[in-house]
Amino acid sequence: MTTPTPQRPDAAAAVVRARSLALTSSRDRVVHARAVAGIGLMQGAMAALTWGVAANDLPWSGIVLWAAQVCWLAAIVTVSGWRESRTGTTPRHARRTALLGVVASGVLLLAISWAVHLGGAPGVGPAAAVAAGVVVALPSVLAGRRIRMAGAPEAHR
Amino acid sequence: MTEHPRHRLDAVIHAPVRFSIVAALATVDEADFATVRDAVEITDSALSKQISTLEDSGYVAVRKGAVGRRPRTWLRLTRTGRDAFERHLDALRRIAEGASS
Repeated sequence: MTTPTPQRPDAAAAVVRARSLALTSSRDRVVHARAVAGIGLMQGAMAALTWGVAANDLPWSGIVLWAAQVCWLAAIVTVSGWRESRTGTTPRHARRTALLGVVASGVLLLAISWAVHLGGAPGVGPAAAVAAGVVVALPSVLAGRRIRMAGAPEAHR
Repeated sequence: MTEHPRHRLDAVIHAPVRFSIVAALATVDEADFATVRDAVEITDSALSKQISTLEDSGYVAVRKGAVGRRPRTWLRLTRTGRDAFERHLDALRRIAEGASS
């Protein structure tokens, strides 16, 4: 196939047109950012519950943790569906950033779960449990912030 | 002597509508069919036809999904498509700058 050679002005115009075709809206970025931050906060809440409730060996901790896990999985499915329904695009690099954040939070959550359930880690008070939850949520929240801020200059153009 | 940048133009991407589609998809990880259609300002059938061509060339991947009961189609530029677009855009830049040898 022979490709016709564009003239210099046509080539310049095509380059300008390519730069102007930004599909992602600020709203899409906000939705993706909130979704990944929300999943991270849920992971943090699970970590706080695991350490604060299960490790203290309270009589109802098994039921609480079981119910929390069901709610957690349902919430993740709901958030994922909400994100799909509210957005028309996945911003550039948002998928990778979100995955890194959620996996990092997930690894921290798993570490706490293993320490409590398999390692017999001692229970902690509410403040320490919440602090652990914040640490677990942090990677996902930061991923959300990164997704949101990545489009900041475009949003104000 | 260096080859003229026109030799690096991609015949599939060079068509104006396909160029717009690929340029739009290059700015995102994934976009739904309607968003691309509205951005490029073409009809559903015209976009479908161009997407088929791009898919056959291995430049675009299509994912069928659903939001609730509504079917939804997601479009994504493949690594091959992204590389081809970068080469094409680079060739256009060089032509615009007046590189002839």
